Amino acid sequence: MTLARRLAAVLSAPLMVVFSMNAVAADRIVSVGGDVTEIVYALGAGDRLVARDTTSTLPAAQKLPDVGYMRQLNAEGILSLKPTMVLATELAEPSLVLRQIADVGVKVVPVSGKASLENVPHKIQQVASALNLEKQGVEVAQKYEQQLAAIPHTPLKTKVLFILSHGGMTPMAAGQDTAADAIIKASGAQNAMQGFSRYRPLSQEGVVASAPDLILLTTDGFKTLGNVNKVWELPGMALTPAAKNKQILVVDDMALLGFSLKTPEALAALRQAAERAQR
Amino acid sequence: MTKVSPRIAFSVLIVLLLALGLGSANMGALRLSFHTLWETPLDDAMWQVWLNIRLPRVLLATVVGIALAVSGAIMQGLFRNPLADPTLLGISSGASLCVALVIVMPMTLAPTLALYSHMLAAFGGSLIISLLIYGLSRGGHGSLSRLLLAGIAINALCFALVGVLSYISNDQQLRQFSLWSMGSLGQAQWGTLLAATSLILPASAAALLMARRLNLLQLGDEEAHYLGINVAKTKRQLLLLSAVLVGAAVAVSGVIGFIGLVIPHLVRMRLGADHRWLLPCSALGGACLLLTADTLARTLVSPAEMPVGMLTSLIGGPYFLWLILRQKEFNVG
Repeated sequence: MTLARRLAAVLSAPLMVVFSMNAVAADRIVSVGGDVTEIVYALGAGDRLVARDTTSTLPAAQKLPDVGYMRQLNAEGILSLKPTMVLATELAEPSLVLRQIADVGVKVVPVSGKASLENVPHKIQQVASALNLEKQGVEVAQKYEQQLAAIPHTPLKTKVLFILSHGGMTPMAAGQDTAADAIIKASGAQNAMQGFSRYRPLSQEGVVASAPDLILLTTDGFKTLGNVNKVWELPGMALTPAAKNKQILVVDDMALLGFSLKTPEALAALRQAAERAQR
Repeated sequence: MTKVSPRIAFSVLIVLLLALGLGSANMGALRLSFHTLWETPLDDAMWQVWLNIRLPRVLLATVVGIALAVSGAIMQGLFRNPLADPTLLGISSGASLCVALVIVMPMTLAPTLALYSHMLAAFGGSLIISLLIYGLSRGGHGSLSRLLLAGIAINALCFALVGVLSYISNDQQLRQFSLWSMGSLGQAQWGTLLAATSLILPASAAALLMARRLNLLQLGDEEAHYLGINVAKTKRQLLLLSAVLVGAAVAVSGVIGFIGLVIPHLVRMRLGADHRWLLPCSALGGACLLLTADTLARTLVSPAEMPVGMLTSLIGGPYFLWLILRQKEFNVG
């Protein structure tokens, strides 16, 4: 059993050995989470990124290598990029892979994953302090809060129906406890679907009874349906006020549901559309 | 098809497994070969990566491959049916159900516990179903068709409940669960490796010791009884071994299909149905296939990784189909 003993000796050696492959202190950051990547770019630190995950759909980040979906990361794959730091959304946790990466001595910084408009400045601050860009962080957070404050949120009577659509799946309506519900409420409008939480498949009667004035879709969801006419052909849709007045809004996925820096933009668009659709 | 001498096949498989093991320990996203390791001091970070990330993963792939193939061989022998596989009794669907439960209804757990929540859930699920099946097998005089039907019912029930959970899950949870159910060895660590090995190796060895009895069972229950075997007891023991193997494999790696069904089948086509050779050769074959698949899974799309369960089927499927098409008369055992 000498081999086993030797192995145990090596393993019990302190794990915190600083990754010594790049001697120069140039930052090499891997960003996990679409919102995190967006904040890194907004702070002007995009050039310090060496990789991003699949959920980082920001156009500027597309040239970076993709380390995969945040819940299926590859420890050795990430280490092969010789990172000095991994910024990871808490949605990727708990993760043995991130633990392994931290064990080799790479700094893993968790970023809050709470889905709310109020949490965004907190996320900005977390990323900024990890990157030593506190000043820029304050600026970006201020800009975000100004944008948010500029959007009126007086109550509107408009009822909004959010439709989640993926290819090959029945389109679903957003109930309470969803990101879409939070955004609709923040815009001052009302979620047309009341009385259930999470997502439910669209039913003809449910849609007619909810009588939405405005249909809300994400860009990707809209693409799976094809065109506007397909939206009006969904179960029960033709009988809704929204269909009669052709009120529909399509917004970027990450901006609408990701609680990111683009969210105020999406919220403003939603507010405008909701005001227009108000009867 | 020409049958191969089992001794030769066994030796070839051992050499192949060693070669694949060395090859995959030498390969990875990080440029970290034996050559580089030889030149770096033992306390370097490179050694840490190799010892704590790559090596446990290579070993885990081997061990899980053994578990899946041996349990498949046991099930096919036990049910005297070449279509039997480890998923037949609903053990992996029980594991799936518990994992789905943990994903969709997360509890607040201590951070260390949360890291292993999927593994614990999967193991708990397999354990519950295994005990259920063991209990069922004690009644009814060990009737296998009863067990088979119970397995079908358990499978259907678990899938229905998984369906309910997917229905109420959100996007992220759904994606997380579907990734789990495609299998991954990315969770490999010394701790998990040791836990899995301490179940899989003894259970495989025990299965090997029962190979002769498994052979006699092929003659039919009555004949086996006259040849001096306690048929009901033997069947129960075999079931339990198979359940332990599948449970351990599913817990550390999620659902990895194909190996349990096809590897024993392939070995039987080449070597015949003598379990004294079928079991060890299946074990080696399963280890070879999973090792290859996992090495590809972690290197092909690096720095990301692919679900390994997808790859086992992609590699093994066409080869198996080709073998079947080439074979004129289809004769099992």
